[in-house]
Amino acid sequence: MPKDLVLVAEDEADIRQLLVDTLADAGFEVIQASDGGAALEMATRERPDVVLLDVMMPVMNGFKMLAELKADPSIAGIPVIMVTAKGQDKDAQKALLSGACAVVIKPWSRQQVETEITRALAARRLAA
Amino acid sequence: MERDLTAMSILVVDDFQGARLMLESVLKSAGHSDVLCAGSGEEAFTILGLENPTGNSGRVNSILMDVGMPGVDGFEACRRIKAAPWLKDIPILMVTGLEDPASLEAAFAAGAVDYITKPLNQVELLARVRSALDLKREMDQRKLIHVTDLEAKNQELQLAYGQLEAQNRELERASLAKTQILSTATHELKTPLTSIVGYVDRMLFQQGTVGALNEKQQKYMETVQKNAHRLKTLVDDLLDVSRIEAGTLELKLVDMEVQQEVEEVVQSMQNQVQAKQSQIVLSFPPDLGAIQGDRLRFSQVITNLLSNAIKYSSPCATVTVTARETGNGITVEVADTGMGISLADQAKLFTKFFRVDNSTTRQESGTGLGLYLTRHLVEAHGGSIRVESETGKGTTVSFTWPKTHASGAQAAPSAGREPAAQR
Repeated sequence: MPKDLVLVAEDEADIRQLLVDTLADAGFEVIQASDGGAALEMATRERPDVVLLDVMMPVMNGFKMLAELKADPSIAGIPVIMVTAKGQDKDAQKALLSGACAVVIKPWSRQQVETEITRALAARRLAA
Repeated sequence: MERDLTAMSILVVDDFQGARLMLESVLKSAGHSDVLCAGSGEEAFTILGLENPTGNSGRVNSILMDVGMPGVDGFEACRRIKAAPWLKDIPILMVTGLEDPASLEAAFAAGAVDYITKPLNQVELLARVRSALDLKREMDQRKLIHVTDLEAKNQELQLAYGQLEAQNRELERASLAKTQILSTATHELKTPLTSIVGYVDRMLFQQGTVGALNEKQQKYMETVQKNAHRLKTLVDDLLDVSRIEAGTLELKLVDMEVQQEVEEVVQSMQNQVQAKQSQIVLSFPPDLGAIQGDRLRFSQVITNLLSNAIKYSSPCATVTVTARETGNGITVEVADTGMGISLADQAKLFTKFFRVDNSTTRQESGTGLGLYLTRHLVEAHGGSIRVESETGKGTTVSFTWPKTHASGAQAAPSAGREPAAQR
C-alpha cells in the first residue's frame, strides 16, 4: 500500500522540519512548503492526501490559501488541517467555517497532529 | 460711601387709589423717581412676573405692600412673592393700619422685612424705604460676588475635568497598548515553545528513530521537558489574562454535569496526585442538576483549585470536593487540610501575580495567575468565588456557578468536535 502524502505548509523552518520528521517517522510521505503561495502550487501539482496548514505565513496566509484551495474543484476535496497560535480565539472558528476539517493549536503535541491527520484521512476514504 | 438709592425702583401695592397716589408723591418728592403702582396683589404679580420668571422681575428693588386688600391680601401676596426663588430677595415693607402684635407677627411670618403703620409719617416711611433699598443693594452685590466666585470655581473645575478626561483617555490607551503587547508577546512565545516541546518530545519518545539516550541525557531531557511545560502553562495563562483584560474572552456554552467534569479533571491530574500520594474524595448528591458554561474553562477552574489544594497540603493529605445546589446555581467546594492562608493573604488571594510567600511555599512552582484567572473565569460565567481558611488547619475555596448563563446565550450541543486546546 502506498504511503499517504502529507503537505506541510509552515514558514518557521524549525517547526516545519519537526513536523516533517515526526510525520515521516509516523509512516507518511511528506512534502513541504514555506509559504501559502508555494503550498497552493504544490497542492495543485502533487495532489496530497492531506494538508497541514499554518495560519500566519508570508506571501499568502493560511486563510487565503485555504480559500483558493476550496475554490478550485480539482483540489477542493483535499482535507486541510489548520495550525494556529491563537488558541481558542476567532481563528479556530474561522478556519472551520472556511472549510478546514480540523484545527490544531500551537504548541501542539505530536499525538494531536497524528490523530487529526489519521482522522482526516479516514474521513476522506469513507467519502471516496 | 454714597450710594444712589433713588435710582432704584419701588413697587407700591394698595387697593385704594388715594393711598397709592399719596405714597407715590411722597417717594417721588424724596427723589425716588422710579415708582410703580399696583391696585391689587394680582396686578403686583403681573408686574413682578411671578408667573413668568423671564419678565421684568429684575427691575423692582423694594415693595410697599398694603395688608388689607380684597382678593389676595397683603400677607398672601407677600408669601407668594417670597416663594418665588427669583423674587424672594426683594425686601417687602408691609403697610398696615392695624397696629396689633398678631398682624405684625403675620407680616414677618409672611416674609416682610419691615412694616409701616398708617397714618403715615413721611420721615419714618422714607427712612424705612431707604434701609430696605440699602439691604437690597447689599444683597445684590453679595450675590454678584458669589456668582463671579462660582463662575471662577466652575471654570477651574471644568479645566480640571478636561485634564482628568484627557488623562483618563491616555491611561485607557496605555492600558490597551499594554494588553496588546502582552497578547502579541505571548503569541510570539508560542512559536519557539512549539519547537522546544516538539523536539524534546522526539528525543524522549521516539528514540527508536532518533536514537537512544543514555541515562544522564534522559534525565536532562526530562528536566527540559518539565520546564518547557511550565513555560507553556505560563504562556497559556498570560494569554488568558490578556483576553480577560482586553474583554475578548470567548465562552463556548454547553450543558454539563458537574460530577462528570470533576471526575475527568481528577483523572487528568493523576501524576500530581500520585507524586504527593494525595487522596481526592468526591462527594456529590445523586440528584445534582446540570450547569451551563464553557467546559474547558470549568475544567480549568477545577484544575487550578485542586492543584493548589494538593500543592499546599502535606503529602498523603486528603482533598475533598463537594457540590450542592444553592438557589439558581451549584456551589462547588474544594477543601484541603493544608497550611492555611492568613487573613491578610486571603484578601489578596485572587489578585494578579499574588503568591503566598513563606519559606515552605516559595519552592512550589506557580505563576501567581491561577487564582486570578480562576476568579475571572467564574465571574465571566456570572458566578462568584470565595475563600475560607485558618492558618494551620486548612483552606476551603468555594465557587457558585449559575445553572444557566446570564447572557442568555444559546448553549451549543455538547457533542461535536471542539478545536483541540491544551492546558
